[in-house]
Amino acid sequence: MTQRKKDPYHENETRERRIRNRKIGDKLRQIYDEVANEPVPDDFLKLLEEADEASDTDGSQT
Amino acid sequence: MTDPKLDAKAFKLELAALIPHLRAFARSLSGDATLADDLAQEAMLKAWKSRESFKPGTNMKAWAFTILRNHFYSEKRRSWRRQPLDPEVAEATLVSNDDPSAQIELLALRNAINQLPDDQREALILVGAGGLSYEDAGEVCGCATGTIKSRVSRARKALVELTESTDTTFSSDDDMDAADAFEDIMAQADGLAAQD
Repeated sequence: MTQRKKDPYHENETRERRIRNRKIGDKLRQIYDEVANEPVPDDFLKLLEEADEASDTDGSQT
Repeated sequence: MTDPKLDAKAFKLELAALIPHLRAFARSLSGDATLADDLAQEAMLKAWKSRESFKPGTNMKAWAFTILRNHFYSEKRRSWRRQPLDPEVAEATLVSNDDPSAQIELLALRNAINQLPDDQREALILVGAGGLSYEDAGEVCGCATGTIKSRVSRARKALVELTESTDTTFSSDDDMDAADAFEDIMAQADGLAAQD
């Protein structure tokens, strides 16, 4: 599957870096998803509905 | 021409589905939950008002993020970022996870992200967590794709260095903590296995 390298030390180095990068990537998404997975506060949808209704009346005038 | 009413309805649904992402991106820009939600709400309303300027078929998340980001910088809210990591966030991080070493690692990463320059932090969040392509992230930040790539790569490197230096403060003479040592062992074992 993957190429075998002759230099085990170098290979360990890249492996370790890859593991670290992956761990950082996982945690980065964890931090983002923590917020993204929260239930959306009601006022967001309420504001959007209000804006939609306001633009409906705007639209009828143009 | 299509029915504009119907388009508006579809647009509204799509925009509503993006709210969680607007909140998450806003949080990463401002670092403060309440201020971030204000920012996300204002961006959502701005996006709604300028829905005519959205090109169907393009990435609406990137488009909405651009509005949010421009609003953030035009309001000079970047000064919000100058504050250190919110102690409440730090505390929540420490109690939210069962595994103590994972708690510390997560807190270390939050701290490290906080220390990144603004341009690197936003590039990293957009690509690494927000799921945008380098191209779309470039659109959001108003810079070339290559610039985003180099910012993300510098941010990753900086995070590795910053979290490594945190690790050492939690370990003894040895410059490795248990998790690192374990990883090293596994990496070496994998390396040996690959040799055969």
